[in-house]
Amino acid sequence: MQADLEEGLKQWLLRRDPKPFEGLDERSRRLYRRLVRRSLLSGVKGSLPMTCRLVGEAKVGELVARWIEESPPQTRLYWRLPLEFAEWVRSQEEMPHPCVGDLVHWEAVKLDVRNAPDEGASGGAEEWTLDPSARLGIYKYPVFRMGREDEECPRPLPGPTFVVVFRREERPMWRVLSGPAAQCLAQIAEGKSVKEGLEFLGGLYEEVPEEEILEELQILRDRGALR
Amino acid sequence: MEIPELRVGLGFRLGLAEELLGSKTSAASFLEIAPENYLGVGGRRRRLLDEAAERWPVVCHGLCGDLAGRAPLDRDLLGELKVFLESLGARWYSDHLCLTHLGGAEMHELLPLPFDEETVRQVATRVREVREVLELPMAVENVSAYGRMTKGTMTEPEFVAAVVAEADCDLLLDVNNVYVNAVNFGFDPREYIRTMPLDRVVEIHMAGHTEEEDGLLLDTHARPIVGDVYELFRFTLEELDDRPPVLLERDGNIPPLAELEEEMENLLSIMDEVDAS
Repeated sequence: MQADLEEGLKQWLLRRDPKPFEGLDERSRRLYRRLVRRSLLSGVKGSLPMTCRLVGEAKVGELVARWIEESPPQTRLYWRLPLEFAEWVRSQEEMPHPCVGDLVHWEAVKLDVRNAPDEGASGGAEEWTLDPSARLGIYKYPVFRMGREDEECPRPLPGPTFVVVFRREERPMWRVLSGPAAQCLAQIAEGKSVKEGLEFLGGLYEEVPEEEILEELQILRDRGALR
Repeated sequence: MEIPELRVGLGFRLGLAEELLGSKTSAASFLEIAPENYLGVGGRRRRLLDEAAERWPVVCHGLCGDLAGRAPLDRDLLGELKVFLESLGARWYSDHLCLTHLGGAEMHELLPLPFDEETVRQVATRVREVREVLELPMAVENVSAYGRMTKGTMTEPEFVAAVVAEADCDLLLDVNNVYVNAVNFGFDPREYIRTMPLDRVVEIHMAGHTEEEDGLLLDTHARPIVGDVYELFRFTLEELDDRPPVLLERDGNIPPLAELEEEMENLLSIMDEVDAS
């Protein structure tokens, strides 16, 4: 297939106000545009029920249309579409509600955690390694405390808050972490030992609350976020 | 290629998995999955697949191999796919004769190809490359379409047959897609079937479709199989020398399993009737 034909079809399917694609008749090119957009919207919307409730399905549809136009999907894995959408949403300055970026990210992270591989991608040789399902996020709004029926943005948190999400008995669980514990966990995620993580923190802070960090990590280990 | 002794199978969907796994008996003698829905996945999704794979043989059918694609092969993804297929003991791999990737973007829709010699060569090259990496026989599926690329110089059956010949690959014959296209483009579906390289058919797909207000048929897999498609299935079996496995696809408006069991029984009855005649 010729490159110009491919490019013309791509523009027609994804652009907001495209030139008609001459390679197909009008009825079928309109139908394919609708099918592509519907498929991508369905792939995203189904995983974001709380966002749909908060801003309405029509608004989510508008956001997905903007995403498709500005940053078309790269993943071949349909279930990962919400993750790419969430990345794009978080990079946007203007959103219909201030907490939407956090909420979309939260719902996408839960999906990622549910589907994360069972084995692999953990830490180094140290006995404590990160469970492959664990993801660390930072939020301005307590979207992780929102219930399924909530229809309003929660008030913002006093400051950026670290949350670790991980899978336990096939369901996503979460826990808020202190900044130092989150930083130590990030080091473990990169394959460092707990000791190396604490040493790293020693380079950042005058005093490292080692006991508190170890206590938080122990809780994570008891709950399965650390192995 | 050796065709395994599989009769009628069911597309494995998460929405059906618990009920299917809980059933004591099923008309399904195999299941089919889209690997893209399971690659690199763990948790409940993978557990359900593993439980199903313990009970049924699993056939793998790709969704976005982009067989007509111009982009370089994603060898990392193919490597993962190879490991995955090996883990399920896959005996062949199939994907659609269409475009899914356009200039760096994934469309997640089956887009039409121009039916011409250049595209035949392009698809055949890609099929051979994928087959080489996966070290498995490859089959291509005829897809439903809602428009024809104006640049085409061949008919659809000529194009499909040319790809199969040029790539020396197998054919996954989707009977519902033949019917949908026959209605949408006004050709004789029986003549189409006769023109296909039937000696290369390794699997048949059967499904339902929906009708738009203007009469156009969409291959939605969201309705039961209609009578005309059952008849075309019977005709196809009569034309075939072998008995390839037959898959029932259902992706939308998923009904209780009992309804799908009934559809699979219908397919088995037709197969038995044709074999007896």
